[in-house]
Amino acid sequence: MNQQSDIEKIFNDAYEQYADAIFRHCYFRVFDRDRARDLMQDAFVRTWEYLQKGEQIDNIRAFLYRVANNLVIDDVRKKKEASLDSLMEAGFNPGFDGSQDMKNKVDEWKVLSTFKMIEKHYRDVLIMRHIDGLSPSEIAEITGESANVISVRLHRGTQQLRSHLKDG
Amino acid sequence: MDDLNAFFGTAKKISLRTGEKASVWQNLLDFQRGAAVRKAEDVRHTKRMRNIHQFIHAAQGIQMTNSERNESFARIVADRKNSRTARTVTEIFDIYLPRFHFTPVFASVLLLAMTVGGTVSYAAESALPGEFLYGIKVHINEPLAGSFKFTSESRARYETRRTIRRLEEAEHLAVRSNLSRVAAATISDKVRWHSAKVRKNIESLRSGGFADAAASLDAELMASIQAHENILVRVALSRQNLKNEIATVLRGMEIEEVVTIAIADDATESLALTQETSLIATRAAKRVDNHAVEQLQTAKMKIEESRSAIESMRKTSGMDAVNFSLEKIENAKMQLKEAELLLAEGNAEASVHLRKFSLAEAEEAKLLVKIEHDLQQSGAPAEKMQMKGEESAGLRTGAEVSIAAAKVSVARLKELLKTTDAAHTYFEDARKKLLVAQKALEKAERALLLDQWEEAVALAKKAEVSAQRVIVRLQGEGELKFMDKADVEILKPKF
Repeated sequence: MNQQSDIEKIFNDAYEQYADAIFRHCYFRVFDRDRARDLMQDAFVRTWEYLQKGEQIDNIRAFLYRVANNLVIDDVRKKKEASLDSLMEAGFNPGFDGSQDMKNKVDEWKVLSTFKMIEKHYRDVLIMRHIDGLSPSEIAEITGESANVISVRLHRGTQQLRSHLKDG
Repeated sequence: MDDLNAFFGTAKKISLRTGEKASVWQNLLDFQRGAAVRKAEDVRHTKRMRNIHQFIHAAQGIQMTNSERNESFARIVADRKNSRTARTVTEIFDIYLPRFHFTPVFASVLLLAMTVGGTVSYAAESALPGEFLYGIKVHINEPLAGSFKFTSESRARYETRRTIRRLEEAEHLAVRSNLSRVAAATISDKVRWHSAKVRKNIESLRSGGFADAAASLDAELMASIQAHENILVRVALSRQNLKNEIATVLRGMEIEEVVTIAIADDATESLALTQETSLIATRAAKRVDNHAVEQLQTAKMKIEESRSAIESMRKTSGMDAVNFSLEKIENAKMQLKEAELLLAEGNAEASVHLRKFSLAEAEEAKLLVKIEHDLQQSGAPAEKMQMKGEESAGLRTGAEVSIAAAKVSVARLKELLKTTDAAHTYFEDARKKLLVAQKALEKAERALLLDQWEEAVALAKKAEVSAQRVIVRLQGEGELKFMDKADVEILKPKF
């Protein structure tokens, strides 16, 4: 198998395995399905380009998250984060899985609105830790912060989240 | 800890839909083919700049046709003769430059809006027809936002959102008895424009190999639009003096479509139909499709969402409106059940249509409660305009008779189809033509409600003739001689 087909296989497998996870990561940070999809696509485009340059990627999962994180940061800087109500008014579809029953659907809506209430830098680390399944050291590497800072944010973010869930 | 686990467990379930994942993958494959030449940032930046340049270039290059120029001049002359006072800037553009608002003045406004940093654009977002900033809202803000939609699906959704925005503007104005003839014509024109784009993008999705996604999108988007149409009719019943204006807005939705339908059992066979329904090309699969099942589940969920929204409005809305809407929700659920049965029988296409009707019913139910609340807040309905007594009564009666006759024919066709063998060569075509006739009849009844009597008669005749022709074909040519004289009359070439 030549090098180009190796690269293609790595990339195809990565897409199959991580597309949903990267999308979810972007989605909980920008709260817009179309934007999240475009950001996920961009993350894979950049990964493809990196591979095409002949660069080596030891951990493609971490690489994708790092790229996605940077793209989300750039995107959020450019665009104002919309409120959920204004998104709903604009025809925003949170995209609930149609096979779920009513209770699950209501729970998902609560997830989105609860996340919205948490401070941004706590929310980001909570998403990466508990939804993306990244370790604190991986999160530190992706965000460029120290592991200590990440641990503190996780702790405070969890407290905020717990308090919102209790109120909710 | 249980709360947190449940919270994150729910969050992890959100994922891309099948169509979305496939769509992105296709984009990546396309990019790979061009990757040797351009970088991702350059692709996106170039596309954005190209879109903006194309937009400005198109805006500056737009001109009136000779007939529009002549028509505009005639109106100016007529207005001068009548000594009418100056209108708002937007009204002037809408009347004298009917479709094309991109004079050098507007191009300058475009550049100004872009350089000022969006303050003007932001303020324009809530503008309504007749207001100064409305032109900026529909000709600058919306097209710019739309230039960043790169897939057929996102463009179709975006144009549907624009269509619904126009209908909401009409609802808003009508509820407050502010819907002028000019505003209605403006909105109608724009509705026609946007809904044609929706059609085009859905067709593009279908021809790109995403027939299922196209069918699902069509059902979902057309349901929203249909719900708003019905709400406008409801407002018309409460604002009797605005019936003509509301009828004008609704005519913007009536587009003749040529749709090519491929039948799955014989992939080489295709039929070309001209019809006014919201049929979308799909393959008529004879087995239960998992994707179709998924779509039915999504529809079920949307109906439940509507029901919850209605329940939550109990405190602020009248009991009658809430109960009526909840009845519509029950209707929607029944239609959806029927759609499930049709799918199980292998009739995927009819299932898609029923799913669309059920979604429209549910969305309309939700909108109805809100509009009733708004109508109450805006005060008592206006007095009905009195027409010349006998003339109007005669016109109305004529329309009612035509509609009654059409209902008989359509009902006869429906009964005939129930007893016709599905293997009959004309069966599928007949079923589609029944949908055409039913749609024409619905529109006739709507026109009657809006006192558009001539339109009601024409649509009713169309429904009747469509149904009768199909009946004759289903029964075989030899049956023609046994038809009633009245039926033969209807089939004469004048129609």
